[in-house]
Amino acid sequence: MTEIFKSDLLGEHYTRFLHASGLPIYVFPKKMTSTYALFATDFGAVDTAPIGESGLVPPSGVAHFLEHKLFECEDGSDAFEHFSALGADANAYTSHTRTVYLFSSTEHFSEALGELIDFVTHPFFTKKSVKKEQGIIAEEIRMCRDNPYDTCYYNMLEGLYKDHPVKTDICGSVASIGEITPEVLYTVYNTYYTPENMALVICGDVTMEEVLRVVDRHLPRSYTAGTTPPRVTVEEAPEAHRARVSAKGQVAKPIFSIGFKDTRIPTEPVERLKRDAAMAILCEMLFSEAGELYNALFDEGLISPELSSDYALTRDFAFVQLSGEAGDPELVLSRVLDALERIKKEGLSAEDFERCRRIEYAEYIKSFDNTEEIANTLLSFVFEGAELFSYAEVLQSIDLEFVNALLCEVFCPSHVTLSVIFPKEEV
Amino acid sequence: MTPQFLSVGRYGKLIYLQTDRFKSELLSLSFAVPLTVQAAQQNAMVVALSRRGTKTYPSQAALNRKLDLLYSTAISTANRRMGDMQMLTFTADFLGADYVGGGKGLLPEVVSVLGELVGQPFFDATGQYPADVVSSEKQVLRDAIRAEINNPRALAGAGARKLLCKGEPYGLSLIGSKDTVDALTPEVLACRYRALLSEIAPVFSYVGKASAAEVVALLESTFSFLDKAPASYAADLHAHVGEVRRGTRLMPLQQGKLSLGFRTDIAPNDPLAPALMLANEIFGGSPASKLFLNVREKRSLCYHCSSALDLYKGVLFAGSGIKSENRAVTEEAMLLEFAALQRGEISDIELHAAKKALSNNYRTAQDNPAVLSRFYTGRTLAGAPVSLEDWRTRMENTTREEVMEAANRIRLGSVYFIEGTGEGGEE
Repeated sequence: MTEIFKSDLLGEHYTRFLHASGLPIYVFPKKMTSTYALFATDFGAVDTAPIGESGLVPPSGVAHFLEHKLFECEDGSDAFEHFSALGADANAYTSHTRTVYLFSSTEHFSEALGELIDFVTHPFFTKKSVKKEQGIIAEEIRMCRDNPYDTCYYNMLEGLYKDHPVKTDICGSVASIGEITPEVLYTVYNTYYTPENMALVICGDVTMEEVLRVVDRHLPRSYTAGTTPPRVTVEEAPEAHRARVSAKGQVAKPIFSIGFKDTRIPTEPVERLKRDAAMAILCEMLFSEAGELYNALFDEGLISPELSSDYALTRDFAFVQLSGEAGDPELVLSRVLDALERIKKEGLSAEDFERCRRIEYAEYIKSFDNTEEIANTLLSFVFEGAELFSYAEVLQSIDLEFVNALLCEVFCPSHVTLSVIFPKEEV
Repeated sequence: MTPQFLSVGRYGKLIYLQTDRFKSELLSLSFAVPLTVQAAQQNAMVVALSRRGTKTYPSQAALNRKLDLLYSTAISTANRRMGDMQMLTFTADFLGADYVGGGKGLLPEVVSVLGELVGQPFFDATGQYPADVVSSEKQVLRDAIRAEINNPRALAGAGARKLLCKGEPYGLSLIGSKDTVDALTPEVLACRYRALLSEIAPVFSYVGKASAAEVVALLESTFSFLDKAPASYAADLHAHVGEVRRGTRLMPLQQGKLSLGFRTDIAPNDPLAPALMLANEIFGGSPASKLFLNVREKRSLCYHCSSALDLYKGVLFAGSGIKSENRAVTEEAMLLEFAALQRGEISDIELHAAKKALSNNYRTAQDNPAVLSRFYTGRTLAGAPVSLEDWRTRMENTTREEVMEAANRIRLGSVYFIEGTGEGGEE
């Protein structure tokens, strides 16, 4: 049965169809030149819970390793070549919580969609090909280690979390990927790459009927529900595990990442969406370039112009990140914490609240201009169990009181980690 | 979407793309001035200072607040090479009239703010930039120059570029050296600002729903102060002759970064220009390229191995991140692929895939106002106007022989290597 979701505000709609194979399919029609397709599994770097009877604990980095390996086809060809022959631009990415295979195309959409479904559903791993990939990924890991911003980010997560696997590098380490064998890959694949744990999301000038014609040819018309994939359950204390993490790296001036750990994650998707939207408004109010705190820090020469803030919220971890460059990150942290305490006492300004809510509204509307952005955002909503068009209403439902309460709840001094990468030498 | 090329005043130009495809609109102002060691850094500072306040919005905070009130309008600036010129761009991205209460929407106010940024920077009573703001921006600039070491991959590319174009404007930094920052006084910069105004022949681009007459009228009334003949466009192209220039630098990194610089005398309006783009695509422009499939996938030497072409200067850079001990073998492997390209060892599949990939890119550009704006602005400034569709057709009709001919007009000119000393932290 096809479900249709509409937004009068945006003048847009999308449809959902549960295919007989068990795969949920989402099509967002958009009169654009390019069509963007995502085939994703709700399986990411944090999924390291022991698997079934085998008791296999997936080595760190296995989700990302699997993403690389699926591109290699049984006949020895590379899926990239198949897409290139069709003029489609294929890629993939692995995050903490999901693995996504994708392409964009301006012609031969049906053939490219068939390729996407085929290569993701036909794993082929050999000892030789796993060994070859270990060499490539080891270089990727070394490349990331040479990136001070990546190091600063992961150090911040290591500071926030004691046990949660979100603190581990998505690529794993040279040692952990050394443990990967074809058997490990097949076990993990069979556990998490099941239709009910996956989604197909498409945005472009295409209909559900066209999509189904392809899916019917490439996926079975029936399925038996499998077991629910295991998820890591880690009880983390609300406080940060370590208040400070520092390292030396190839930077000219110290770079920092301030993390605020948030453990009060609502169970209900709609409540999570509300928290996410309210935190977006709150971060804008507290840290944006139009705000008092940013301008005070910048005018006093305490920070470089780029200061970014972000709130990440998933089913089982959430944190705020505030990142930038500063001569004295410790002083920046102390000024941030002082400002937060003062604002908690005085309360947030109603005028600022309306300004920042309007910004979120504008950003939400602008995000519907691009097939890639629409498909990725829709996928996030699908895996979070929320409805894409409800966001505008949720934004409207948030009031100043709710945001003031969040401010006190999330921005506690004991929840903070400061991660700093100091220069190795005077530059 | 076919652009109209319209006049704004005596010397200004407008690339006008009318469309109702997007919920947001884009307006940009670009100009190209000679890239010289004396002016490049000062020009970069003048652009940065424009963001620190205007006559009506006298501080960065006031300006950002105004932009927030215009439904989170974003104005970004860019400082790029365009042949041997320095291209400076202001781009405003704002919500369309339908989402801000209708009428003329935000366009008139956005034009007004853009006009202020360029024509009414905040000067103090003495007609200079305020000393404290200049001092703060100088620190930001010093930090930005020093921060070049934070990105070793880009640093390797810059090393190859400087060697390849030694003594030419293209070899210069766009933000200059830290040695000249101290000499940037408010007087020097105000003087540079006024001189710059006398050099600007603006190229505007607009993507949105407003009528051409309305856009031209707004631009003419706001930017009447920019009424100068454009500086002659310069881009010295020549294929490299003589010895390959080599450079090495040691850095405390886990991974070595190799960059090869190539030159050609094929200009953007040369009949072989589309063939040159295909040659780059086949060599290292995509995951279906020779570098990716052979140096990365078959030989497992690296994670990234790719090439990029700057058509406006006829230079091509190929880069890779590798174990430092693999430097010689990787350079040899990359050059073997280049030699195969020159010998015309281009399979039907490779040629077809390269054409499809570029064709897909050009079609996809229709979905992205920023990409459209950049394509047409570049071509307009370089005096090589062509429509995207014509360019795509020429590329599609290119033969293998032409690609081979273009490849044989490319010469290796420089090799730069950042040797990682393996001190970049634990694996």
